[in-house]
Amino acid sequence: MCGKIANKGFWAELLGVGDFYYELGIQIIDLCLSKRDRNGGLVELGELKRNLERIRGSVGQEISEDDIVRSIKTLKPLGGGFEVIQIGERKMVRSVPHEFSTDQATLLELAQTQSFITKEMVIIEKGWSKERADDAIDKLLSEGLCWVDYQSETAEYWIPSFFAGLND
Amino acid sequence: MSAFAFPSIYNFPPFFTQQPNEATWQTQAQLWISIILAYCRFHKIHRLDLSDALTTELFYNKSINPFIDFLRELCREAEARIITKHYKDDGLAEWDPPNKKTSAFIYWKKPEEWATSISNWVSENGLNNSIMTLYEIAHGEASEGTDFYEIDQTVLLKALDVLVKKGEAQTLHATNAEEMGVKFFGSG
Repeated sequence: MCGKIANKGFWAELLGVGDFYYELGIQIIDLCLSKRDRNGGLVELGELKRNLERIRGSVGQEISEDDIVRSIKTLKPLGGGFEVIQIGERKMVRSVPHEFSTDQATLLELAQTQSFITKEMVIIEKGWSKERADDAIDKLLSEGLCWVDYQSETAEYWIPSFFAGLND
Repeated sequence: MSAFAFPSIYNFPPFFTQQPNEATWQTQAQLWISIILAYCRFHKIHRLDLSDALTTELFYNKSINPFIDFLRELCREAEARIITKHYKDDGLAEWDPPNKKTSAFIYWKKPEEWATSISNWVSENGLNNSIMTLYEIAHGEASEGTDFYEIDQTVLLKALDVLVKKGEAQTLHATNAEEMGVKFFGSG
């Protein structure tokens, strides 16, 4: 989308990168924005790499996670908040301009093993009050970073960007 | 028959709960609508009965009660998007009967598009000027292999109605609907 309107040479020069990183950067922006309504603008680096490989096809140059990280750094002058962040063991790419609060980061870290959390889990494992857990979870919901599942006895809050296999 | 390939979001447990975040819900409803249309197209379902659909894989869900509420909301949203005329997908479904909202025609092809398919089939097979019964069109040997083979009768009637209005066909009434005849006018 951006590729059609932007002058390739101009941007490549402005960002100080070659065509390879320029092209990769455009693909990263397109992919992250197209999934933002679903994952709240958070995607795992490995998942992003797999998606990039799919759209680039077999003819494109091979890419590594380092290439993605480098490409995202070059996007910084454009604004838009693209950044690689560490959540627990995982490297995540965030495509929304606001930083996570400490509580939000704690919840995301807690959700890593099972892809979801429950209020009870948060209260027991982190020793939070119910109000604090409510607030932090509500915030995740309102930012589109988690989805609620009422099918079980207690509500489960799922983080789409941790859920393996959400790939189309 | 090979299985319908659900997109990966179908395996995401919260996909079966209405999301409280409005933007997420909008995305969720749109994803569901695409799945329903693709599923009906794949299985050639023309009329979807909601209580039956609850027990098929399309909507199968481990805990039914909260799911019924979800389904109700989904129908409401689907109604806004594909039945009334506010979204690009309008006209893709229609309640049947209109006042009861328990089942719906799912138009993975709209009646106008079915009319075009039938009209092309008529000229390709030299059926111009001949009289065919509704049964022959929907279940006859000549239509085997077309995508309107086994079409729902009401949907077929709607498609034929389009052709009648365009002056390309004339319906001939009989005592029961399946024996009803259609005469296709030749163009040449």
